[in-house]
Amino acid sequence: MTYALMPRSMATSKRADIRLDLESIRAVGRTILGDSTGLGLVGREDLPKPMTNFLRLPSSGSAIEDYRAWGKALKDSFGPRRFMELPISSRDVYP
Amino acid sequence: MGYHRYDADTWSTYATATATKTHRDYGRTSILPAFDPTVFGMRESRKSGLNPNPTPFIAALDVTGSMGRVVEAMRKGLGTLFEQIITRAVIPDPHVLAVAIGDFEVDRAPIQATQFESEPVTIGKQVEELWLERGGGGNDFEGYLGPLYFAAMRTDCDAIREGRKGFLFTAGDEEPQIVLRKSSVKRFFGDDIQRDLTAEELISLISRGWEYFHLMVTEGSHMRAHPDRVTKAWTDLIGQRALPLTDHTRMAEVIISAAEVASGHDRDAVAKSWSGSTSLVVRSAINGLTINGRRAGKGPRFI
Repeated sequence: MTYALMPRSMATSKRADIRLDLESIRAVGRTILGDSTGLGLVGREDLPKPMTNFLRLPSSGSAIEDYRAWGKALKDSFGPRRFMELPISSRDVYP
Repeated sequence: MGYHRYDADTWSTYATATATKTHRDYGRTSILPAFDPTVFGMRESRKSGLNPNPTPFIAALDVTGSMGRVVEAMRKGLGTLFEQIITRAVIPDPHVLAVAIGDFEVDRAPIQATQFESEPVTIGKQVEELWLERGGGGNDFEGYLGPLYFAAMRTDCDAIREGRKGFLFTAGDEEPQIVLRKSSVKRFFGDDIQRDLTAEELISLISRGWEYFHLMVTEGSHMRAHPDRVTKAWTDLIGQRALPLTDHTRMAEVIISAAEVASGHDRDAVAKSWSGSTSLVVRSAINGLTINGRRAGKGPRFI
């Protein structure tokens, strides 16, 4: 799995760098959504497109830039940050 | 799309009726809106009763300058492509989509895409509707990254959802494109992306769901002039997956053979399975394909 996430230059040089961490983070997001490749998320109408596009495309190679882009993807997907009540009780979490 | 099945008689009738056609007979003078990625959303390869295990194939062909004849050779080879894939049982239920590649820097329509189709006559008629812009610039590359972005972001394939890979072939005579610009993606796909994408990034992206090969068309004028430069550039980028195509009229056979090797078949046996000059062309193309290990459940590793 880790090898599959590597850019070719990293695989051939056998020297890992920050890009592998950033690719792994996106892979975690894709896996949570049920498709580690991300290519199968393309037609999912129940998922916001900005978020799936972020998770499917390659990382920038910069953690700061990726965090900025993730913030934008969230805003484009769900609107501005806001407080909202979550009607969940302890019984829902620990049935 | 792709709800039909290959029929030899139907293909024979169509092939006979269009046998004298050449790439100079393609009459369009602008892109057909149905093939324009800024107009359509996704291209779908779906399961059906006739094609329960569809395997997506994308053949993306350079249509700049003199390369239009490669498109026509591809159209004429569609019957062979479907017939041999089915006869040789290379992979199940091929769904073929054709892409025309131009130059993102200077052309008006550097990316056009047909639908996925499951039989050669329907896809052949769509190929006839491609606009052979015959443009291209003097920048030593064409828009070879366009089909990679298209495959990754604008196709929805049941096979890939199920963990089976599709096959993506680009073909042309120039060096690889190194960067797909954000502005080009906006202009020619209508998509907003975060930043420019490099060739390496796009290749990593599609390798999750596609087996990617590039056919270096050695008969093309650019490659005739700079064979070593073109070969080195492609080999540096994708290693063994850069395949020399010494006879463009045998493109279908080379595509099938590369797919067979990628599916685990013996390279030498695949080359020997063709007769006469076709065998020589195929052997020349796939001779460098050496499998270095195998990823569990994901086919061979060529690099």
